[in-house]
Amino acid sequence: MVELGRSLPVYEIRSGRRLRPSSGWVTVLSGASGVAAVWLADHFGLWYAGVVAGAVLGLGLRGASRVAGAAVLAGFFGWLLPLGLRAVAGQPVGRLAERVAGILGMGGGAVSGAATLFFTGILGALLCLCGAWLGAAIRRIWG
Amino acid sequence: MRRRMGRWANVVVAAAATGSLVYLAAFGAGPLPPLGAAFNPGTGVWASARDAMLPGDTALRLPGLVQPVQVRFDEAGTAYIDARTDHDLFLAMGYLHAKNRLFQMDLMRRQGEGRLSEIVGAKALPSDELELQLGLVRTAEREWNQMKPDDPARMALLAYTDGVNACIREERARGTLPMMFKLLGYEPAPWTPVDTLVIQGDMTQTLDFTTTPLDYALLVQSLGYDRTMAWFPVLPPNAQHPYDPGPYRKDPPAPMEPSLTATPASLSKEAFAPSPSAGAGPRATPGMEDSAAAAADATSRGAAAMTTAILDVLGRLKDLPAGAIHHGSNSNNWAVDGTRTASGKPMLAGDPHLNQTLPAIWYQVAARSPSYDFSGVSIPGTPVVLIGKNQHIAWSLTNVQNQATFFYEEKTDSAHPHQYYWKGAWRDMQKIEYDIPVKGRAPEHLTVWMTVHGPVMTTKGQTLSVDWIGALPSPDMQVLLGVLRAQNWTQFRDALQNWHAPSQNFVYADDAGNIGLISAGYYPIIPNGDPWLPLPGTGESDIVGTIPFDDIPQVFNPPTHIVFSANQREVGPDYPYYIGTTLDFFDAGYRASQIHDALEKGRMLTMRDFEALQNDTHDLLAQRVVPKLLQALDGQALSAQERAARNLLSTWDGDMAVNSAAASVWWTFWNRYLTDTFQPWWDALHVPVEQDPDLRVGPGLTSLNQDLEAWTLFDPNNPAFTAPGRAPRTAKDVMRQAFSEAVADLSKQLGGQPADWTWGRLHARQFPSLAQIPALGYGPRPSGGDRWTVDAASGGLVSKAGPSWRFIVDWGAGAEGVYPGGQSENPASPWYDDGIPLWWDGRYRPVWRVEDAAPSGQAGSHPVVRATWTLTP
Repeated sequence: MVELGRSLPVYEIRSGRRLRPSSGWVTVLSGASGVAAVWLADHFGLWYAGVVAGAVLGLGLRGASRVAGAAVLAGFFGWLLPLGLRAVAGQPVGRLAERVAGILGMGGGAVSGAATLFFTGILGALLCLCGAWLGAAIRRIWG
Repeated sequence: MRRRMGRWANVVVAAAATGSLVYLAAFGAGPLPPLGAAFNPGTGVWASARDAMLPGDTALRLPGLVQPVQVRFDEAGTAYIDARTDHDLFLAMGYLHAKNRLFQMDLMRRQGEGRLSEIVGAKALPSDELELQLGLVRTAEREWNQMKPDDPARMALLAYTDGVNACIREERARGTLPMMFKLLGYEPAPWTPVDTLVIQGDMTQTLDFTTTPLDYALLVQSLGYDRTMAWFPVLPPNAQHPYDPGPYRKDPPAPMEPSLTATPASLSKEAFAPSPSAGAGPRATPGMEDSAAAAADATSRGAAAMTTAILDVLGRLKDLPAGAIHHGSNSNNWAVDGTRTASGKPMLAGDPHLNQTLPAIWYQVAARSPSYDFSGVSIPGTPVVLIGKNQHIAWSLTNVQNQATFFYEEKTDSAHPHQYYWKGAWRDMQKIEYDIPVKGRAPEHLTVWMTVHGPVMTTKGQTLSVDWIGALPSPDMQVLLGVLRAQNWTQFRDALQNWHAPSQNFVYADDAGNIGLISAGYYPIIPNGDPWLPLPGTGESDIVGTIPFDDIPQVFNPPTHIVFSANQREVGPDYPYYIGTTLDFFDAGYRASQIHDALEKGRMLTMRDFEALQNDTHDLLAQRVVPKLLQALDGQALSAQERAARNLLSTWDGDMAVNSAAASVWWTFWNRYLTDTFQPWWDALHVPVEQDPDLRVGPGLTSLNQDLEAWTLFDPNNPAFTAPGRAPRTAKDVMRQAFSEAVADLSKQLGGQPADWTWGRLHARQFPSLAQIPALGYGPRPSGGDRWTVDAASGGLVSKAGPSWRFIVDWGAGAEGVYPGGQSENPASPWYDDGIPLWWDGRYRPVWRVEDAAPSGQAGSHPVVRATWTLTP
C-alpha cells in the first residue's frame, strides 16, 4: 500500500544519489582512469581498449549518467589528449589533420582539419560508450 | 519477468551496437578504412605527425650494418650517406628510401607485380592482369636468377633489401608505418631484390612499351598503306638536328639476350606458379575466353579479325594507370666542352621529362664509400643514382624512342588448340598461371599463354603476341653501378655496353675536359617485313639481333664542341639501320633545334645560361609557322577581333609565357589548323578514334605536326589540304579558316578582348598525387610552356608531365638541381612539396658531395647540415 504524501522508494534513492556530493568526482576520477587506460593501450595499437575500458566503467559504476559521462570522458579525451600532447611536442597535428580530411574527401583547410580531429575524439568516445553500455547492461543482469 | 526480459534485451542491443562499431573499427566498410586502427592516436594516421617533423641529431641502431654510418641531412632533406663499406652504403640507402618513400615503393612494386587489386579491390584487376601478361615480374625474377653470387649488383641489392626491411620492421613495431597503409588497411610485405628489379621494369615499361604497330595497322586499314606511310613516315619530313650526323658503319647484327620462351618446341603447359582451383574459378588470359572459337576464326584472317584483335588489346591497355606505358617524348640533355664555357671546363645539363606526381619519382641523395662517391637523384626502390655525378664524371638521360615493341600475328588452327605454327612446325604455347589476390573477394585466376615471341595479348579475331625488348633481362643495376664507379669516358662507355632497355641517350661530361653522348640499348633488327606493323609470327620476321654497340648513335668530343638530345631522331637519314618511325614518339625536333641553336651561339656559357635554356618557353614551331600565317592573312578582310589577334601575333616572339595572349591565339590556331587539314580525311576514311584515342587528330600525333610544318613551309599546295570530295585548297586557305575559327573559339571561351586571352587562362600544370587523391596533389596552376618548348608541358591543356628533375653541372663552378616535389612522401612534412616553388620559379639548389657535408667543409662551400644520424650495427 502506497502511503500518500511519501515518495516512492525508487525516487528516494535517485534523489539521494543526486545529492551525494562525491558523485561528480567519482565520474571525473573514473573517466580520468579510463583516459589513462585508453591512452596507454592506444600507444601499443590496442584501439579496442576503449571498448574494454567502457565495459569496466559500465560494470563498476552505478547510474546511467555517471557511466555515460565517464565513458565519454575516457574515450573522447583518451583519443584526443595524446594528439594534443603531440602538438605541444611540435608535431604538425593540425597540418596532418587537414591532409587526412582531404584524403577522406572532406575538403582542405583548418575547419576540415578540426572536424577530422573532432571525429577522432567522437570515435574514441563512441567505442568507450558502447563498451560502457554493454557493461552496464550486463551489470543489471547480475543485479 | 518482463523486467528481466527487458534487461536481457538491453544486453542484446548493447552487444549488437558494440559489435557493429567494433566491426567497423576493425574492418571498415565500403570506402571506409578500418577506423579503429586508422585513427587511434597511438599508431594510426596520427603517428605520421611524428615522422612529419624534420629530423634532429640522433643515434639509431640499424641491424645488418658492418660499420657505423653517418647520414647528414641538409635543409631540403637531401641525405649525405658516409659509409665505410659499400655494403653499408646500399643498406643505408634502402633504409632512407623506406623511411621517406615506403608507400610509394610499395605502390610501384605492386603495379609491376600485378598486385594492386589486393589493396584497392577489383577495379585494379585489368591493370594487374595486363601486367602479369606482359610479365615484368617474370623478367625481374630472371634478372635476379642470372646474377652471380659475387656480382656487385647482387650484393648491392641484398644490402639495399636489408635496409628497406629494417625500416619496415622498425616502423611496424613502432606503429609508425606511413599513413596510407593505415587508411588502406594493410601492412607492407618484406622487400625483396626482385621488387627492386620490378620497379626497374616499371620504368622500362613507361619509357619503352608502345602500341605503335597496332596504331599503324588501324591507320593502314582506314587511310590506306600509301597515305599512312606518307603522313606517318619512317624518316621525319621536317628539318632536324641529329646529334650524331655520321659517318655511320654497318655490321652484322649482334646477338641479344634470349627471351623467356626461346626454345618453344619442347615446352608444354608448364605451370610457373601454383594455382589452386579455389577462388572465382578458372579464367583465361583476357582476350582468350573464347579461344576455341578464335582458333576456328583463325583460318580467315582478314582485316576485320585483325581490327577486332587490335581493338581488344588497345581497349585493355587503357585500363593501365596513367603513364604506365610510353605515350610521348619529352626530355632534354646536353653538354658543351670548355671552349664554350666561362669556367673553361665542360658543362652538362639534363632534365628528364616524366609524369609529375607527389611524391615525386626522385629522391635526392649523395653517398660515399670505398668504391663510390656520387650525388644525384635515385628512384625509391632502387639502390642507385640514375642521374648525377661522381668525383670526375657527370651524366644525364633522355629516352631514345627507338621501336622496342613488336606485335606478331600468330598462325593458329582449331585443329591445334593452344599451339602456334612457327618455323615449319606446330609448337605448344607455354602456359603460366597466376592467382591475383583481390581485396574483399576471392582471388582471380589468370592464365597467360606464351609463344616464342612473348605473351599472347589476345585471341579475339586474331591471335596477337607481343615481343617487347623490355621483357628481356637487362642488367641495368650492374651497368649503373659501373657508371657510378666510372672515372672517364672509356669506363663509362664500357659500362653501357650491357645496357639493354630502356634505350637511353646518356650524355656525359668530365672534369678532364671531355664530353660525349651515347644512345645505349638494344635496337632490334627485323630481317623481313615492315616492323612498324604487326608481323607474321611464322618465323621469317623474328628479331635476329641488335645493332652492334659500335654502330649505335654516339659521339665523343665532336668538333662542334656540343652534344645534345631532346628525343629527336639521333641520326641522319643515311643511317644504315631501321630504328623506328615518326610515330614512335621521336620528338618533332623543335626542342633539339632550339638547344642546338642556343649552344652553337654560346660562348663563355655559365650555369645561368643553362638555367635559362632549361626554363625556356619559346615555341620553335610557332616561330617558323606564324610568319606564314601572317602572310596568309595579309589583305584579308578581318573582323575587329581577328585584327587584334593578328596584331598580337605580329609582335610575338613565340614565347609561350603564362601572360601571353598571342600564345593562346597560336595554340588554338595550330590545333584548328591540324583539325581543318586532317579531320576531313579521318572522317571520310573512318579512322577509329573512338576505339583508339591515340589516333585523334591533334598535336599528340607527332607525325602530323611535322607534316603540316613541312607542307606549310615548303609544299603549300600539297593535296592533303584538299579535303576528300571538296574543292581544292592550299595551305593559305586552311590557315585562314583555322585562324578565323580560333579567334571565334577564344572569344567564346575567354571573352571578347583578345588582349585578355592570356595563355595561363587556357593552360596549367598539375602534379597529381601518386595515390590519385586530389587533396594530396598540387594544382592545376596557370603555367607557361607547351609540349614543344624546352621547358616542356606535356599532355594537353592541363599538363601532368614535364621536367621531373633539372640538373646542371659546371666542372669549373659546381652543380645544382631541383625537382618539383620534396624528399618526404608524408603530406604533413615540410619536405613533401617544398621543391615546387623553386622549380616553378626556375631556381635551383646546389648539388653537393658527401665530403662537402662533412664537418670539416669550409664555410660557403658546403650545405647547411640540419641533422646528423649516426647509424650503428
